[in-house]
Amino acid sequence: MKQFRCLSILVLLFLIVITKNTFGISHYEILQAMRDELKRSMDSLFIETLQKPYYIEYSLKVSNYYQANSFLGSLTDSSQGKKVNLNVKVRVGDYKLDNTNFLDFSFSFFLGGFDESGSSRNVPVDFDYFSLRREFWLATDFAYKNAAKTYSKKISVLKNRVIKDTIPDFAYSKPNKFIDTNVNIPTFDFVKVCKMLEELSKIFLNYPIINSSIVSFEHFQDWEYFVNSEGTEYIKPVFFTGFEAAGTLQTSDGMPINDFYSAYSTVPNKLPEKDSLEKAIVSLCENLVKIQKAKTLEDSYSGPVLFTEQAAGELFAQVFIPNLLAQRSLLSEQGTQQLSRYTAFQTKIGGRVLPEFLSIYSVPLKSDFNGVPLLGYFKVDDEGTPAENIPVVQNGYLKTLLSNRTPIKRILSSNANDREGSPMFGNIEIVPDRKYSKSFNELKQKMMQLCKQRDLPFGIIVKKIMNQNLYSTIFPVISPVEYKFGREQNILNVVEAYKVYPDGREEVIRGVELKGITTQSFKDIILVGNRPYVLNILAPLVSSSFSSGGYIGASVIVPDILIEDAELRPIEVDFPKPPFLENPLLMKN
Amino acid sequence: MKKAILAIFFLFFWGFLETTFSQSEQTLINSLKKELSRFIENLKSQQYPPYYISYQVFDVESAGVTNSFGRTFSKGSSRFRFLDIDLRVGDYQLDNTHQTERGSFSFSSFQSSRLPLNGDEKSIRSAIWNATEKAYKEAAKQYQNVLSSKALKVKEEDTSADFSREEPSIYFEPRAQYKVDLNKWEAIFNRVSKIFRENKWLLEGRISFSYNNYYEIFVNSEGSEIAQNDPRFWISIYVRTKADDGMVLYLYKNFFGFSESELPSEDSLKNALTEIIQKLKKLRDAPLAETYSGPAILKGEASGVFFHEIFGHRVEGHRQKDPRSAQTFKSYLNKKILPEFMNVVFDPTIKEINGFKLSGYYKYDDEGVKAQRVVSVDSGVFKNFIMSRSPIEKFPKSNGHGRKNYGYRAVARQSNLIVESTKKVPFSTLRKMMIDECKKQGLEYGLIFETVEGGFTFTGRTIPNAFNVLPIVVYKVYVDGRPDEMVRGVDLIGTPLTTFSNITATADDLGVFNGTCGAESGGVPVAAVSPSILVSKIEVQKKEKSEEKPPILPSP
Repeated sequence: MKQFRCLSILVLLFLIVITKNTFGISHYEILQAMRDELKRSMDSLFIETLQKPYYIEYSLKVSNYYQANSFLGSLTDSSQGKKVNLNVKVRVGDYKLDNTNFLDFSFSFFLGGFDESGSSRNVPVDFDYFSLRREFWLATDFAYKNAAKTYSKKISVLKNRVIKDTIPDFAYSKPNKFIDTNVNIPTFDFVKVCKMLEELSKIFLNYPIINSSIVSFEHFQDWEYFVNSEGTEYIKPVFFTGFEAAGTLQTSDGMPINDFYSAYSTVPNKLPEKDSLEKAIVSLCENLVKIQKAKTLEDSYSGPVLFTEQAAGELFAQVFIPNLLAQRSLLSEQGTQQLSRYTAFQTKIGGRVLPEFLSIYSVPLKSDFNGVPLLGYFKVDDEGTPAENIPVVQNGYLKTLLSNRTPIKRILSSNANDREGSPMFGNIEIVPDRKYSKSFNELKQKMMQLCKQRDLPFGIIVKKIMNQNLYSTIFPVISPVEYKFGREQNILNVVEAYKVYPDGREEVIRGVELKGITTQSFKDIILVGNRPYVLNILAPLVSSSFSSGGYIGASVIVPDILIEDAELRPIEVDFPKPPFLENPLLMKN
Repeated sequence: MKKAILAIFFLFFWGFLETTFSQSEQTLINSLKKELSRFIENLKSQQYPPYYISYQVFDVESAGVTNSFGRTFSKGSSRFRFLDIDLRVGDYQLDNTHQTERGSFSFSSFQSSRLPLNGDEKSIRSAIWNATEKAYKEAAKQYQNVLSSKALKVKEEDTSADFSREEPSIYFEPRAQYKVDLNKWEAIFNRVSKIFRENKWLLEGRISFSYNNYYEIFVNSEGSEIAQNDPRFWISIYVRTKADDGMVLYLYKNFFGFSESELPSEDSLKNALTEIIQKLKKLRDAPLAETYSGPAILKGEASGVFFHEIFGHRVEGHRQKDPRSAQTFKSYLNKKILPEFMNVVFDPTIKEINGFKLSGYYKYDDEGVKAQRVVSVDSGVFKNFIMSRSPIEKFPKSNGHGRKNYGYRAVARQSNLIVESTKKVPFSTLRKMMIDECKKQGLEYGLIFETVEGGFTFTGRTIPNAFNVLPIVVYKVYVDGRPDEMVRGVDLIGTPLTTFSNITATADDLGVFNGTCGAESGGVPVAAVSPSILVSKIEVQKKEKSEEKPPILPSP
């Protein structure tokens, strides 16, 4: 799930579980400590030979977490605790030209080389007014010295180069105050949840053909505090609850087959009930059994493909939507760095990116869709800018990109999409023109009609695509074979797909991947469904290619989509041998 | 005959096991044994069948609380089970772990998986099965690489086997459960840590309590079955500040015990905090030392760490096999490397010395071999390497020093390093001997190294075989009788053999350092014990330091 999972695997021994969950300090006192230290820093923090800060921002995250994993009826681990972390940003120079948007290998890559803590610090969980100020004091000192050094370095680089990029470094923003403390704090029984996980993970015992499995739960109750020197302040709760189950097996020819189920929500009581989860796991197991028996494609398939529900959502979330984020090229001593990922639309504003019957809206202010809670809901972004619902693509044409306060050439101000320090989507709704919205059967018919025109013996429906977060968090743990990290570009692993024959018969296929789907492919959407599907995911952050990302809750509301031409091919790598011995679950004694 | 005795022992202990083990541990041990024999039996027909499998389960229970500047920084506990598998294909002489020049011997790729904390036999066996399948495929692939790499290479310098043959060991203890009262420690820390806040020049001030019990279950295909507890309790103090010239300064102190009751009282902690803060303050104001070459005393604790770093790591057996290692002591077998009045011993079988607890104690090592006392240097003559089950020329057997943390492959690691001496004088005499030596060399002062934080040592062939030890507290001792002066900012450098030959005497005291040593098989608890030693000539150089000024604004 979140980044935390990786951390917990790496530093198990040092995993600290906190029992005290109540605040010993009020929301007001926390904000006051931040204000007081920020003011002191703005007033008096400077070294004579260097510039004074023109902007300082403090953020603090108080996080209560609960996490557990279960395997075949028994927990493998569980933890609950509290973590407090602060982050300080200092800007030196002015809005036009400051120390940011500059890649400085010598500082940013070797922070703390002399055992000095950085501008992001863990804070005592039992902090009070003074200890909080103290931690902010040390972090600010560090951040200021680094900012001042980076600024001098940037100036000297600029003096020696002709830089075409004269975009300001930071967009001014009017102060905004947003205090959201009047929320119901969800209460839930963690012991009961752990018990439920054990019971749910027992279901896999009935499917000994499955080599390995996991049932997992995570709940975060975060409070985020923010103040900046322009007068913006906020307190916002960020709640997250996730349930995941996954299973994996190897077929007789060695091919690994994976399937998963995930349900995410803000608060625990909005997750599906236990009996629904039970059904979901049974269906996941049945599905694995079914896929394991299936044949793979004999040959590559190129033709119309219908993507339904989860698959349509993942397709948009992984391939299209990350391109809708504004990205700023960084300056370095070697010149302006080229952007490396998701750059398709950076210069495309005004151009057509989808068929004219499709529009895309960013709707962070929607808390739910037809009763399903949306994970990407927020009222104020992480820079304190009030969120707004905006059209991003209208009737096929790109209107804007999702931005934060770091301007890019075409977008000079924030449209409130800063999430964890860089532009990131929250809730994205893909809205079709009704004329092009058809029922599932109509879509299927249309696909078969196209197949007939192209002399294809069958069409393909893709129902499930591998999720990026689960691929890199859960599956490495349970994989029965040596796990390969990293994925080939433009390749998507298909979890569940069917051949559809002219008589309407569907036949499951295994071991296929989607090749060459790019943003261009979305222009070839010819029809869409009339049943919007909500995909809640933990989406990888799209930040600079030099920083390691984490995951953040996001939602995509999407209809089924029929693409005129897509390529599916059988996975053609050497598989590891199937198990030499049978799973003990299959043994009689 | 031996086998028969073992079988009787085994039955006896098995009976014992039935009555005292909890159901959960019993299920785990049964599961391990069943999967182990199933894999050995059923893979016999494969092209590369495993000739050895060991399962080691680390059932880890840990708890801790840390206080920073008077507030609880973190507090909690955890429990989990890790399974490490050592699966070898080939034979004792040449197997998949064989180290080739291009490094097919990979420490990080060791197979490690989580096991359910409870669960019935079938589900635990299913987890073990899945992990073993992975381990076997990996081992077979490695072995294939070893074979092809060997075919291309010239004959190796050291032709000893990859794995030693050892007698199986049988030992059982039920899992010990310790009731640790974190609230008590939290309250004590809240009281004693007020002193941090009173010293505004301190940038970091932490005190922490930690406990962990590694309940280790080890079974292998040679018949070893071991279940042992390894409980450890620590209190650590860490303080950090910055001198006006930007130098980062810190001090730390560890207290170690095998039970909670062996840790210091609240009053002792209070005193320790006061003392360490005062010392750091003094250090902050201390002048920078200049480069120096001349006599010095390494006090007991500093000398222990010094020996651990520059001697101990060089006598870890497996390094003598690495074609890239300088193998400093390989050609010194049965030759003099230290003065004849000195011995160096590695002894994991003792729990304490002169009332000091020793954290390098264990019963069986991580390859199932019983812990053994190893005399490495006897009357100045180098006699023994510390050995895991990776044999080297002239040392075909393990001497119980194959150690690791979970997730790693065991290699030869240190235990309790003990420097012994027969030429002992009172410390005051040693000090006078140093002053006399300084006078003889025409020097204004000598140095006393009180504490060192560790260091690093180069053992490769491509770089000079020097060491760099990092002293924290150093005093100048003037020959004209002026008071001793604390100095800062030096590193102790040199080459091991030259430095050893310059040791002229030791004191009748004993210093003990307990800590965790990190190397390629992960962090393992070790101890270093030594009397203060007088070295007629050492060298110090200036320490690299941060250019950052202390915080601009005063502490809020």
